[in-house]
Amino acid sequence: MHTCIHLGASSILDQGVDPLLLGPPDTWSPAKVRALRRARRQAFWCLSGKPSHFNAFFAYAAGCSALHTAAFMGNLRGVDLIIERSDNPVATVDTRAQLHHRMTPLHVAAISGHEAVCRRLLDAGAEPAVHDRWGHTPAYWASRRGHAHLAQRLNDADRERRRESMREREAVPAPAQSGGAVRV
Amino acid sequence: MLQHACCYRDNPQLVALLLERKADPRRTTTRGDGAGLAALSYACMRPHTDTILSLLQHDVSLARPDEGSSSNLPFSFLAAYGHSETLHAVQLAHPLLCAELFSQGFVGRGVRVNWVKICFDMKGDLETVRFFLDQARHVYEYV
Repeated sequence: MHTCIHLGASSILDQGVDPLLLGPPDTWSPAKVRALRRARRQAFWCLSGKPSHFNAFFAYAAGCSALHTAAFMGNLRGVDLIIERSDNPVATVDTRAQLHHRMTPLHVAAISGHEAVCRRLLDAGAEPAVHDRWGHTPAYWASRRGHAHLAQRLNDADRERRRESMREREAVPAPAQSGGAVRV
Repeated sequence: MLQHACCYRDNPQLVALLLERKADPRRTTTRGDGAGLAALSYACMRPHTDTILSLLQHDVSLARPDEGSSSNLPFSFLAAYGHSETLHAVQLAHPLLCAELFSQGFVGRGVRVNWVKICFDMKGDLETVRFFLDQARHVYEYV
């Protein structure tokens, strides 16, 4: 991805800075600030009107799918549209980002705290306990970003999903034994 | 001059006149935050549809990325700002160009562009997203 829009993110990534780990502005190192300023100069029109630099840089970074971007930006109707048009919604919602710790769209929606998007992804078959490259779940990221309520909902969804699979396993009858002696 | 004409007015006659007088449509701005943008990019930002069509009529290759450079795709502004009507107009006037740019996911020399992702990067206009998904859903769905 090499449009003007993405040059900002590219220069950030060139500095070895992971946009996900930028943290709040008051914790940015001088190197990060310089990289951000350079990126801002290159992608000024994209950043205006955005909720934060953090949002903007993640969204513009290469390595994630359209669904990741829509999920991160909280575009519920966009997420709906992509899922509806997909031949295999389960595979689509579980697409891994090439960068950003191989996160799924559910991870990035959890990071940005978009509860409705998370619910839509779960309804489409997203796995609530999916792990990124470092073993973190969407609930972990939601909690780390201060979205405690969403983290709770994701944990509940995970528990519910486990309970359902247990019930399904119990409902399946055990295979009949054959060849055994019949006791009278 | 041409960049100003494309940016501030949708006046294809003025653009045609400037092009006739040897204005260079590939010339880019050199100062300020928007440095590096050519006339078509400014027309796409607004969007000035008639101006865009006039520039493409002059030289259809203006919509392609520069040789040796993968940056500056003018139509990325149409995608980002959600100008679906202009996209339809351009497709009607230049179907081959649009097929080349939008149906493969690859533009120019191996430059990969996910137009749907660019839509979500900015405005997330659903009509624009639908336009690109109609072109090549299988290309844009995944990474």
